[in-house]
Amino acid sequence: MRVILHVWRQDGPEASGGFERHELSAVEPDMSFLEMLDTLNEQLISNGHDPVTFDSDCREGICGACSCVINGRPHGPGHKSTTCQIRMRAFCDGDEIWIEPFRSGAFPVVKDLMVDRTAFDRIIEAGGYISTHSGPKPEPNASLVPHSIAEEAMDAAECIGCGACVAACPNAAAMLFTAAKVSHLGLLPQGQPERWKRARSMVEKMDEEGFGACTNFAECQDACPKGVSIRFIGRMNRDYMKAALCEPETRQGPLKAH
Amino acid sequence: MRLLKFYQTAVGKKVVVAVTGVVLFLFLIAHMAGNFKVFAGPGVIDEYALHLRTMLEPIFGWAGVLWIMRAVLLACVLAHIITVALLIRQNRKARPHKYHRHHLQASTLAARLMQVSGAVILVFIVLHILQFTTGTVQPAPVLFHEEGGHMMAEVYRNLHAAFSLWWVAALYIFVMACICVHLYHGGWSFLQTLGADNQDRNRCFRIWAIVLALGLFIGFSSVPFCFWTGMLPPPAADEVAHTPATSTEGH
Repeated sequence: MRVILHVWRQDGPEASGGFERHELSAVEPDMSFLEMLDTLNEQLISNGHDPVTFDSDCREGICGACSCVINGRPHGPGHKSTTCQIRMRAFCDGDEIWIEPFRSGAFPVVKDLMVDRTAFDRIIEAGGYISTHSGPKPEPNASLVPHSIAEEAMDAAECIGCGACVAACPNAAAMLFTAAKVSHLGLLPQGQPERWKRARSMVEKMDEEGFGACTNFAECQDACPKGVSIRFIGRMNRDYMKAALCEPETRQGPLKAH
Repeated sequence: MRLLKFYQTAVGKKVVVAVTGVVLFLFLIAHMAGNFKVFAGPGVIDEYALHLRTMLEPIFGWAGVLWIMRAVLLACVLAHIITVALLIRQNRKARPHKYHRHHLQASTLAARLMQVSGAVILVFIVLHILQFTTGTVQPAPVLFHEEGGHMMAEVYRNLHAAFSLWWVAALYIFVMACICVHLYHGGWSFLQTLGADNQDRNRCFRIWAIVLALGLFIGFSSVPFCFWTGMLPPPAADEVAHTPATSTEGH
């Protein structure tokens, strides 16, 4: 099959970019979207041009490295799939395909389709961890977790941190990502010691990184390759409200009686 | 200090928008219930307007309770709008470069129109107060009379005069449609923001948003509609209207 590509080319974070038109004629319907981009790059290199820079790693939908907004949708036309899981049979012969990077002030373009998503890492650093002892392995059944809670925590933990939620959100908000991280630890016993501190510091970090605010459009949930529910955003808001307004900042010292 | 920090975050601001939205929504319910008194006869809504001013008069004075309610509502409207403006600014900054193609998939039209419907409602609130409360804007004459040394609007007479004009009634019904659209998203959205939503309840909450949005639309629109179509009788001819408007007191 033959496709016409409009690929975003941008030399660096400060450079102004633009679309470049390419035609690919030997595209197999069974090729993945990234294999199609590989073919394009081989063609560009053999013609002596600069290849298109894009992110990829596992190419089986679990690492969260691949990105791209394809025809206006993060990760392209599939449902609950990443760019690497899209096959070219999802397009028709002669289709025009527009490929853009994820656009957010917090995700500066490194080059072409590759964006810097370390803002997510900094949100994780702010509170996406638990404190645990480093001694012998504890008895697994020492702290019981109800099955439904374990499942719910796993639903949140499915987030692969790809950033499609930010890309899909009209406000470039990172609420779904942050909520998934706050919730998957906050639901489990191991995450309780830092629960309130985590909610507070991750929410504050999210704003600091320059992400937008949620307007409950639910676009993120639709674009999420793992189908993380916006219910976790509500849960994060609840945890944040309690952390910021109710939980005491200090528990030490006497209360003045005079 | 803690509250300020809370307000500085996007989540804190969203909570403020949600809570003030709930207060304004509760006011709409009360306002609509008050409006329904026009169906009980010409004198009843005027009695109700008087009651709003004499309620707890020994403690708060003439219209004291009414002014407290007005102050709370004004604070909520201002907090709602200012906070939304701050959030819009943050959201614009968060995406400095727009997509050339961006296909919204999941959001409802009501959600996408929140800013438009909100702006229409804001303009309406100002005009509505200028029309029926202060009598500054008078598409139809707005009459007042004196009641125990205070100026009182002739509520039923003024409503009848205004809504007998087809364009005033149509304009009111149009704005009620905007409120309907605003509340269809807002009525669900505040529950989601405050973390009350989950998979079990979502269906109920969506239905609740439809019911309240349509309920308020039909409830509020019924008054201009019934005056316009003549289903509500004109005020009794012997009730002579008195002074043209100068006071700030009224319905």
